[in-house]
Amino acid sequence: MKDALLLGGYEFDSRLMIGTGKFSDVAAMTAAARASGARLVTVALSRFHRAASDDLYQPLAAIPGLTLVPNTSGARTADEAVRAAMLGRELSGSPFVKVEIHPNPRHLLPDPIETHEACRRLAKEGFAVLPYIPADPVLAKRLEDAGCAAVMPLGSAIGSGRGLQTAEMLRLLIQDSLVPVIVDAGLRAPSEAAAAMEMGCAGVLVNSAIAVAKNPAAMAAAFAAAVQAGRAARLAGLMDCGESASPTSPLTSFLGGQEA
Amino acid sequence: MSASPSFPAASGPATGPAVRPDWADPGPWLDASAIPERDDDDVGRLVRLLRDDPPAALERMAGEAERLTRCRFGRVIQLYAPLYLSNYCSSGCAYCGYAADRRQNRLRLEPDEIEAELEAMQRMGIDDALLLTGERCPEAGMDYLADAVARAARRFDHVGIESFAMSADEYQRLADAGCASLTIYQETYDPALYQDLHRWGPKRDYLFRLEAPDRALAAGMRAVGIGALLGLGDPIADVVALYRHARHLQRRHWRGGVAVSFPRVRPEPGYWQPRRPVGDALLARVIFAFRLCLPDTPLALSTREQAAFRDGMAGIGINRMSVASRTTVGGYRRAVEGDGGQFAVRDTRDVDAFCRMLRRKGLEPVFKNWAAIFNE
Amino acid sequence: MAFTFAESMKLTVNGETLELPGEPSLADVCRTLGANAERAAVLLNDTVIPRTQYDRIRFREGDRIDLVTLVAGG
Repeated sequence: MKDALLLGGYEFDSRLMIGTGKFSDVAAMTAAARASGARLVTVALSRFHRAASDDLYQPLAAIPGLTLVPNTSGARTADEAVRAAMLGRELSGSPFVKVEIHPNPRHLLPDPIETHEACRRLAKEGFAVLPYIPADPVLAKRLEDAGCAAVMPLGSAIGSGRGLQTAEMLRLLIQDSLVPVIVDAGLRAPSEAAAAMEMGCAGVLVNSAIAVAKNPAAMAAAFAAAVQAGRAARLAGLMDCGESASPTSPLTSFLGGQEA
Repeated sequence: MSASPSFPAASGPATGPAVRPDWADPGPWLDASAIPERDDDDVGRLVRLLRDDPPAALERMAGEAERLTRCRFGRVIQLYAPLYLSNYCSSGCAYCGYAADRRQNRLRLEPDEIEAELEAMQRMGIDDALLLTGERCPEAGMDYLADAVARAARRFDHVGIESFAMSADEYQRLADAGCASLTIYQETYDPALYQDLHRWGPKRDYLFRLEAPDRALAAGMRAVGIGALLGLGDPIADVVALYRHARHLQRRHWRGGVAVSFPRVRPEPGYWQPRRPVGDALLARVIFAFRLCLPDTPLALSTREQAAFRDGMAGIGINRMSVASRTTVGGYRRAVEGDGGQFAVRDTRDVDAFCRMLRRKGLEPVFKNWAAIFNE
Repeated sequence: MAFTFAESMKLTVNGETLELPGEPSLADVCRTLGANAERAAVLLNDTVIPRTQYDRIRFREGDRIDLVTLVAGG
């Protein structure tokens, strides 16, 4: 597969992941999932309710080529996240788990300490672990060492639509990462997804920006195109920034004007 | 005395040059018609800066290199000094003044002499010592080196070694003895040329040397210094491979420091003649390009270079420099550099004169990087 | 204490107390809730039960069971 996204030993021909939350209904969600071309789709876990609304599994299973990635949303500790991941694996039939542990209900920022512990244990259990993390280059390396299949740093807070607020840290994180870096959370516009890909991200995960768009399926397609464009630009090699510095006195006169 | 080679010429891999790993291969970036499938480390930018930009771009690169160096390292130059412990050697590197078949007085510092040399260095204000030996041999092996490291670590806050390639266990042993960093140059990254120049001895093993910095960092050394000896092979190919090597190490060992040095062999009467001499302007361009592409990486320049070049490069890309080097064994107690060093020292100023120059340029010489009290 | 066949068993399922006749199977529990056992993951007293063992589950009086399913999420 040409330029496939390699994740935990599996290949995917799309670099856009989508989340299934916040859609008005299942039909809008599945339409967006199809339009996005995403191969990896995140889902959450919940206790079964009698008044259970729509069944999610059936409509998602009807879309060919989808891999379900259960998340651990709702977990506040490593123990809870590990348990959620085990349950998720029974339901999804996939080795992937998106570890998210965000105890603070207001900003939903990830707890790096519990996240690291959960990832360490899940990687040992054979999961393909995808942790949602703050854009912290050191934490990313610690998670890589712990055996994660990728890292998913946030662009800005979940659902905030504030874009790549963490760009500077993302740059450092991507620069030294040995596993794919997938920006998760905070994106609002497809141009931000393209920018993340140009920067060297291996993929992006988008949920709110698609789910709450006026036309979710059309927005999903727009994100898909942006991710492709950004990736293509990255591979094409962006032009260098001009060096703007202009020293007041010549720095290279000691070379006597010679050039190689 | 002329030592006879202790290894037969065919002691290296008998099957031809080593196959180098991708991360040391500049190939895809040197062929203008081939576009590498991916370029995660932006090697393409380095190549453009090295090869495609017009001569007029050099001044602009210098300006940007100075700005980046100042931002990241401040107006300081970190100083270190080498101490040659022994010039016994078991290898036959064609370009080296200490190669086993060279006419050379073979010397080794004994413990009391090591102490005296270290003391002389201390008096000069040095606090960062780089201990050197030749390739592994009975006269200067692991026990000898570990003892020297321990002695130096008692006096200096930073001790590094530049010696033969070792196993992970051996690096661990030196790290435990107080060694903080390993300097090891691949010399040339071209496996065929490498085999050609390293005529016999343990150093013929290209991959064992190439992977030495990985082993050292994995074994707990804080930092490594790598380099290519310019003048041996195609300079662009070698420095592109060097850049890829640096990036490999930085990705693989995120806790470790990686520094890059730019040694070169000059055409020098009485010494081995370089096949591909690198002029000042190209060397300057290489250093600027590395600073632009690796803004956070320490870049070092030794006293192999002459004073005017070192003065010019200080602070514009370069942030580490050796000072008052003696490349003869036991050179610090003798005031003048004699003949028969490993290479010709071209900047022969003493510490005071060198520091005066730095201060005139608005740069602060720094002898100490961190206090060894934090080391376990 | 003599061993007797229980007339019924009290179980806590998803936080609700249920009283089921005889020795209920997982399928019985799911049916009571209207859940599809095929699409449920089972937590028995906080332990995850692998799908392959669903047939072999024997509940005991007072067991806490959580039936979990996939829902929308990011």
